[in-house]
Amino acid sequence: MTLIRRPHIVLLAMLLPIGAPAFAATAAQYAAARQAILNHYAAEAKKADPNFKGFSAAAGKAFFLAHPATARKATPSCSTCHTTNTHNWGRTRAGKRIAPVAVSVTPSRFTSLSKVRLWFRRNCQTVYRRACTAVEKGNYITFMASQ
Amino acid sequence: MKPHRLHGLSVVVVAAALALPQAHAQAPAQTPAVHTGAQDFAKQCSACHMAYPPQLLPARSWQAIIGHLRHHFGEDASLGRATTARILTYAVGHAADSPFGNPEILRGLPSAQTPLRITDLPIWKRIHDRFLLSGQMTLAPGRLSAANCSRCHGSGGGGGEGGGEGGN
Repeated sequence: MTLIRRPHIVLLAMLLPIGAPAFAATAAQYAAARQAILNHYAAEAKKADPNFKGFSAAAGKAFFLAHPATARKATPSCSTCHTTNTHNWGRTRAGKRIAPVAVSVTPSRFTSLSKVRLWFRRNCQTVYRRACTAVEKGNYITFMASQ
Repeated sequence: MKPHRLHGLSVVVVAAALALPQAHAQAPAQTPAVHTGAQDFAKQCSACHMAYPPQLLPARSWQAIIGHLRHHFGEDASLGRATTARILTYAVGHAADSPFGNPEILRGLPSAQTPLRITDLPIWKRIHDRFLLSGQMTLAPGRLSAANCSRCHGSGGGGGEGGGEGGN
């Protein structure tokens, strides 16, 4: 066993992610960035429906916990990987831990529009097998911001 | 005795395959393009799973995998066009059959086959068969999945016993 120990260290050292950005923002800066993203989706929602009145945390919660009929077997719900408790660490199917989605636990959540877009695009296709609407995205963020 | 000998040999092969690209990564004459590709590859892949070293699959596999990220093992893992192109270039340029790889990794793999998983490589099976047979490891998704290398090998190089975690 000791014979093979060192090559694995070489292997695993290579697998480390290269330089995570060490960006420390204040809670206020995060909140402002998140609000800008919510405003972005609100504008989109209003465009689609002039009667749009605002996002709903309750609807976001239902969306998060739902098991849509269209879902793939391995990923029936958002809560499959994120767990049903937004304060918990989640886990991808490949075993990687996912930081809690609740903003109170992970303040940097939903503060980068490109990141938010990327993950809604991917995960809506994976769980709902379609793109999510601006209202669904805004509800989701509103729910997580309340958590 | 036989499994042990195979195991030792294979690990040497893996180490040799990985030593070269690592030396390359430290070379001062590295071009910015390669550097960006490596960073993108590590960042994007490790968002969901460990960033498997490109040296552990042939170029044709990376083309098949990164060319179809919208359908990535049952999930949508799509990226923007520019990022996709960068990680594809990096992976193909550092694949097992590239100048940075070691063709020994592909020993026993028919050239007409395009493995989508490192666990589909004959050499991987030779190394890990005993852990699969003993039930210490599973090919199914989950914590003890074969895709979760660091579960047994340790992350960051610490804690790897090479023999798995025994009874877990």
